[in-house]
Amino acid sequence: MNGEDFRSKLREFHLRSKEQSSQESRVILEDEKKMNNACCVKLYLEDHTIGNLTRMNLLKQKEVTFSGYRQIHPLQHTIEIKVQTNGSIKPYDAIQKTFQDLSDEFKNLEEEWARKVAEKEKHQMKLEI
Amino acid sequence: MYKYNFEQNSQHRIEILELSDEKCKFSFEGDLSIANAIRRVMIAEVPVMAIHFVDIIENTSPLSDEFLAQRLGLIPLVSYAADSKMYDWEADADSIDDQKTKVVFTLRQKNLNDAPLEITSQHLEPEFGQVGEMAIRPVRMFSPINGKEVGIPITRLGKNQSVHVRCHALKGFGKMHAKWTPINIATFRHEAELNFDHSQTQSLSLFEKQSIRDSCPMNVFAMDANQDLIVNAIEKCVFCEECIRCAESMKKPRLIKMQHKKNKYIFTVESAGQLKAADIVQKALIVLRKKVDEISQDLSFAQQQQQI
Repeated sequence: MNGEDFRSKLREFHLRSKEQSSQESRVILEDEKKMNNACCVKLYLEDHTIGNLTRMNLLKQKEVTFSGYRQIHPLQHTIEIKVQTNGSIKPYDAIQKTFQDLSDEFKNLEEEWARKVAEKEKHQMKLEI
Repeated sequence: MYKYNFEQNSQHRIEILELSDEKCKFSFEGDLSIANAIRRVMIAEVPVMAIHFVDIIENTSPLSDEFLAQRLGLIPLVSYAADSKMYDWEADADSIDDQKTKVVFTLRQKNLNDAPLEITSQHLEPEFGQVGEMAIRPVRMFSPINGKEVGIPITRLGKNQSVHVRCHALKGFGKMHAKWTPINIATFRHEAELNFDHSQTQSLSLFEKQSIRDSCPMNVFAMDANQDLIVNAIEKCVFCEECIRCAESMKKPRLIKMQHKKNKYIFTVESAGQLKAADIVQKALIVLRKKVDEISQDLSFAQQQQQI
């Protein structure tokens, strides 16, 4: 039932973005009113995979003083990431930088993986001969 | 305030330990969060094909229609061509019967003999001509007894029973339903770190060294040319602590120190047959990068809108 639910959400989302004939954003930004240099980002159709990844990599930045994430409800496919910085950088920019770093890292990993697999296959071919 | 102690800009390193079409073992040096993201994506978000809709034209087999459809859905399909397919919600509504989104198989069998007829995945015939390695087809299964090709059993027909169904295979990923999961196993564990107390190793006799070496069920230890005990294959260690128990029986409890190595993980990936194990990891990395890029784009888009 929930699996079907997730699929129908994807379909709905796709139709909505098509209707508006513009890029439908899966991201909702909220400024934290009671705190300085803090923000809350809601990501639709994401889960712990991205949540934990973002949180841990945000904490790598020296400017970030707090970052955390939660899934607001097990049946709602939305996560919420909260970030606070020490003021030398905007919280949105910190998140943006994290995603760019991650993208570069995955690109490197892809290349490394392809290289290592080719090496290993070559090595195994030699052993067979 | 709690702050993790990271190495700044740590480099990731991959080393492949074992590689075959079905199974892949590799060590990954880097962040736990990245290791876990790769694992989760391999399980739930690598797209493959699976039978999703079944038109039942005739079914007089002992299994009910729903049961038959369920069994057909669970057959793994070789999905090298899944990248060129679209999700059914991405295609236009009027071209829903398009080859872009689906592959159709027909299954039409009737048993005219007295002996029961086993219907297997070998009886599934693709409707539009597909050939070659890239074709989407049920995975080939070989008998472990004689190595002959056998299909995956679907149902059995008695005399004069027949089954005629059309199966529509769609693209999907594991988050929707487990039948779209390309892996059987995707796990990672810490690598061990074994340290000898060198003040005690010198007093060990050759017999004691040999018995420690032989106590390990995974053959982690070996003897070097000087008849000294060395750690030979650390990646095989499964933390069973047999070596420590062996040392304790020799009244040397602090001889070996066993720890988890930080930031090094050993992955085991076993393919279910849809894709090669190495391709699953590759695709998982691509999916992750695309996901991150997409969110970063959406984020800057949302930021622009908010400023207006």
